[in-house]
Amino acid sequence: MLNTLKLIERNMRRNLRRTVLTVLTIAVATFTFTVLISVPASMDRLVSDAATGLRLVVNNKSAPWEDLPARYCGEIRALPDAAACVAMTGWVATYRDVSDPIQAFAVGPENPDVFPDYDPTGELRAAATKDRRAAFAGGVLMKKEGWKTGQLITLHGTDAGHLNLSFIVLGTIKSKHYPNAFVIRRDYLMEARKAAGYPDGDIAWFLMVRAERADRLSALARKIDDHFRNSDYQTRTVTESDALSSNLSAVGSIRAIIVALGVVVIVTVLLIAANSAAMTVRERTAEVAIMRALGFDREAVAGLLFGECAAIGLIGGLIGSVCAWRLCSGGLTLGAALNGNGALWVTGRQAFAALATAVAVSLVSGVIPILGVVRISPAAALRRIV
Amino acid sequence: MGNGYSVELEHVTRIYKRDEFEIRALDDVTVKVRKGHFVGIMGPSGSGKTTMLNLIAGIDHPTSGRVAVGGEELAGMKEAQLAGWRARHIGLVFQFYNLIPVLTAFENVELPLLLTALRKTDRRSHVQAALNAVGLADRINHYPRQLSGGQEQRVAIARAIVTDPTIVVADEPTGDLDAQSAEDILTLLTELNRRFNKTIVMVTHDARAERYVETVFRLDKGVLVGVESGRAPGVATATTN
Repeated sequence: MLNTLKLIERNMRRNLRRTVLTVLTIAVATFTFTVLISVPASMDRLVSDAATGLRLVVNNKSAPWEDLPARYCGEIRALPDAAACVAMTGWVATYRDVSDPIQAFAVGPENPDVFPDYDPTGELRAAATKDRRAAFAGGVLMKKEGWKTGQLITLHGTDAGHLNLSFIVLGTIKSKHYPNAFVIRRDYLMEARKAAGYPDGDIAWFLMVRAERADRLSALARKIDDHFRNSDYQTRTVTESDALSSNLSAVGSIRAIIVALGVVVIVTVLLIAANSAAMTVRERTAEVAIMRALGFDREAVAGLLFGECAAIGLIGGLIGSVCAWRLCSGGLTLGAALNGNGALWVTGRQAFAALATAVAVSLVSGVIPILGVVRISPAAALRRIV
Repeated sequence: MGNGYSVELEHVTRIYKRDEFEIRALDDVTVKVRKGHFVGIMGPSGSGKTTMLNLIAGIDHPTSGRVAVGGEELAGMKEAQLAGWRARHIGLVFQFYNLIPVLTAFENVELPLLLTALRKTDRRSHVQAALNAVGLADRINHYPRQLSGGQEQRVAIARAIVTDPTIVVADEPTGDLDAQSAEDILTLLTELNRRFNKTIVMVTHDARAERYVETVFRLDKGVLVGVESGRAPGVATATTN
């Protein structure tokens, strides 16, 4: 039996090639748009996750890329309101793909004191004591590289000395806050560097400090900087969320670029869909006239035509948004970007927003041709047929 | 329809504007058709036949004059009202069948019933009855491309009668058919007229049609130039200018 949905479905199959191509265009555009809109959302998520923590980042005041003595941690731990401190020394290396670096951080056994959500059960700390080559990776990185627990891997350093170091991946950092992390033993890296003739001593890129209470964060930051004011290496201490925000702003106006790209995607697919809608409507002028003559009013006919547009947008949008969500809902690593904090997440909400946008764009694409054809009086339209 | 007329056109004029030109498609025409009559409107191309048909069907508005169909005055109706009125009272048959190609014969006939409040089962029985009436009960699942011209026109006629309209208007229903098919269609229309007492107004060039209709209204250059009897004397009245 005939009904509106069946009529829409039949009309969509009328020129199947055109329908399929339009659906695929919308699918690809929706996929791209979903991933694009998740970038600023992922960045915001990084910062908001950090804002809930009790951590401070201590950098060299001269410049953030200058090192600090790792021994400063001992002095910081002695300060009131400081619960824990760990020196973080970075090492950039590659695994299989030389264009896709991994940002490793070498830390001491006090690391879980500063990052309690790294290792809530203590199993990673216990495992790290068994082998100097112990390494732990975030879930997204494990999945991306295809590593298994217990696997022996060799990473190739991208620094001047091109250190090649072997590690045993002893576990996954289960917390979703560190999807891309690669954590190794500090003593292992320092010994390797010394053996390779690196001139520096026990240095750290920065120090991570955990405060005892959230309301003491600012006070502790000031205390740390005051404590080292007259030292060889003065410090600049900020909250972890401020440090991340600063990192993100260092990659430039990425939000503006993303928004611009998103607009380009939307406009492009709108033009393609509008062209397809215009061709479809032009071919159906006769049928529109017949339906008007049979007694279907303007709204009913417009509703049928807009229904087709919505169906095409819905199908294409579903394909694109679901593919993006399936691919990226578990997180996509952004490599060494943002000190290895970078990961892209597509949430269900973002996928739904992209789907809604696809349907809206498809509907808008039909506005001009559909309203144009239903405005023609039945008599005028029938004259065109005859 | 207290006065017994299905169709009343009184002093109807229809003028179209084409750029700076005015085209007088109908000029002060008065025509009345009694209920249950089968009448033909004939004349050369451009005489105003289709215009008159469109006015009767409520597809177009006169520039001046009165149009009443089934006792209802069409002049005061807005577009949306006219659409609903057409759905209930008018059955349309076109020269080129104008079936929806993506719908089967059954679904094409069912299409006008979507505008009614009939349930699925009632729609099904209406459609089957209409297709039976035109002799196409065995083609219900065929698409238009799978039917001959004559069969397509039968489906179109079934679509026109499925809502049990007050009046059937047919615009050159045999215009695209071979001689045998054309005869079959004219016979079918006559049968519908006699069996169901349907008022049928048919525009035609086909000289054979005069044998089937009761009255012929002749138009020339938008003016009613003659009213003649067809195969049977009718009681239609008309005025010539």
